[in-house]
Amino acid sequence: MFSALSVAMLGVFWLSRLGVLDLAALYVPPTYVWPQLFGGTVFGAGLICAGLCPGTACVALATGRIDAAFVLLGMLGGMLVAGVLLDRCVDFYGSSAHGAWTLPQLLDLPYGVVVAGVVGLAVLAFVAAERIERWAR
Amino acid sequence: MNAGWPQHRTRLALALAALVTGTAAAFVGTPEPPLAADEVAAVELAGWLRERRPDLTVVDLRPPADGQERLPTARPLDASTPDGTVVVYADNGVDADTTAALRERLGSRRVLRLHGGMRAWNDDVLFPTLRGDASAGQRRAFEARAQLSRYFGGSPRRLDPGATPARGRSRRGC
Repeated sequence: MFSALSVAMLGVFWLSRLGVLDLAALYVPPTYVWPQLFGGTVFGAGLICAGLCPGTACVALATGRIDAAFVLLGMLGGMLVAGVLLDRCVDFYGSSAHGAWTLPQLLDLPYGVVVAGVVGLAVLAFVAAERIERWAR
Repeated sequence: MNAGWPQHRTRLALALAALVTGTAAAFVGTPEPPLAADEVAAVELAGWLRERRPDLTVVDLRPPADGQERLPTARPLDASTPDGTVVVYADNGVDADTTAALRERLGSRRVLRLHGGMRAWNDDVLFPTLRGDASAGQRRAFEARAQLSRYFGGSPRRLDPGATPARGRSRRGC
């Protein structure tokens, strides 16, 4: 997921810079700080436990992996539960709204510097993850 | 995977490519494409108009219409366009071919086109927007834009990000 994010970030930056992509035409989803932090934590915990994200779970299921079927069942069950409970937590769901909020706005840094920072962080994370994996074997 | 090209080399090459393009992005700074040599930004043109540059003529290339807002000092294109720098604009941008044809017609005058046209003038000069959660540095930088906006009769806007419409139940995007 971090690699997809880095590739997309670099692609959007450079395609816009070269005049191929109009940044103003891109939809930036609004930020709701606390609900998204909560949702991100639940999503991340599920990803760590399952070892699959939704996209790779679909691919894994197509290759016949049984664990991917349970991951997808869990994901669909989670969506069902969230939908049923939504009316009870609608205040939290719409809280801490910040509109279309981007990292360069939050950090007050040039867009390119943020791109470089995120890419550097991603590469460091990949190197660290690879070393941990090698150490764990 | 090709046996002659180990997987770790592919990863190394991809990581290096990401680092090089990422570092280059830091030096470039903004994702906006640089202005062409014959373009001028709305804020820069506003500065020229505020300085009352004597050799500057602003030409509205749009067909005349009732109640149409115009840039300050703007005039339609005619034979009496004075010498000096001529900045042309339309609703959005003016394409390079139109500018080249105008350059031939206007002879020795320096012809520039307003980047983004009337839309950029409205967004960047008349109605700049500051987010309610902006940092102190962003607020300071905005103050100069706000002064320019008031000078031309505009009104700087403040966006309260918390006042966005109620959150919908369905969402867009991945």
